[in-house]
Amino acid sequence: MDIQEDDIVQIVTDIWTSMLGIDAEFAGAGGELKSEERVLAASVQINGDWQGVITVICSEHLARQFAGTMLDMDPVKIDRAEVHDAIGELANITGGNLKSLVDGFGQLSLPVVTEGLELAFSIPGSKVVSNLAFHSGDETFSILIVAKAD
Amino acid sequence: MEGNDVEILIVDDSKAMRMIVARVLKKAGYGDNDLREACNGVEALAAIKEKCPDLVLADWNMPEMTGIELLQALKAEGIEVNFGFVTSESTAEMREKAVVNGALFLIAKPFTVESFQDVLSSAVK
Repeated sequence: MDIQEDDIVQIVTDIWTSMLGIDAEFAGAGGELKSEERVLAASVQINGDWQGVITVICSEHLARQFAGTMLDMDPVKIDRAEVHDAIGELANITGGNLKSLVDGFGQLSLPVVTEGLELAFSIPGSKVVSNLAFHSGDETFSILIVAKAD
Repeated sequence: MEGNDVEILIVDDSKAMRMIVARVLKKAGYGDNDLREACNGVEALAAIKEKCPDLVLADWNMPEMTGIELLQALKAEGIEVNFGFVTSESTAEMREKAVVNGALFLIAKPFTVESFQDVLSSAVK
């Protein structure tokens, strides 16, 4: 089953804007990450009748802003584990909601967070279902959905 | 029971989410006096045995012991406590499993203050 772009935009906007009070405006197709930036990628898997991975990707700076809002703390004073926790939870909520859009039984994994420079993603036997960008303040984050190829 | 008198245990493996739930509870009129936290079902079970709260709000998907396993463990040990889920998934199967095991409600993330007020007003009296 295809996941519709409108549904993804609605879910992401609801999570970021309505629940967290974080600015998130749909900005079209997700692009390549800037290589000079330190990047965080938080992923959850859905394993079942539909198999895929949902990943939230953003700069370390933006992840820290998200964490600051979620934890109600000064972003500068948040440690790395707390930033990973916050971005992982965003992936968890996004994945949990997107799971409702796919057919059949599926198990949602706990989030996995990766941080580094020039991150590259590849899952053998999979295809990109969707890669959407969202503006948050002056920065952009992406929601990447990869599913098992038919 | 007034909202401010209610003791609530928030169970979630995400510190960020525990803080968000705590903030929303306070906006909803609950939890000014006694909000406790646990980061998985194992910690929650120990905390409940030590001092039973008026309400447990648990995530579903957690390491060590999930929310539904916590609810089943409480049932197995004969511990009666008001229990609700706050979780990112809310399939019909999960809602049914929650109710069958004795949960009072399931709040899906993303949530609002109103979604807490709606269920807590009847769940905690």
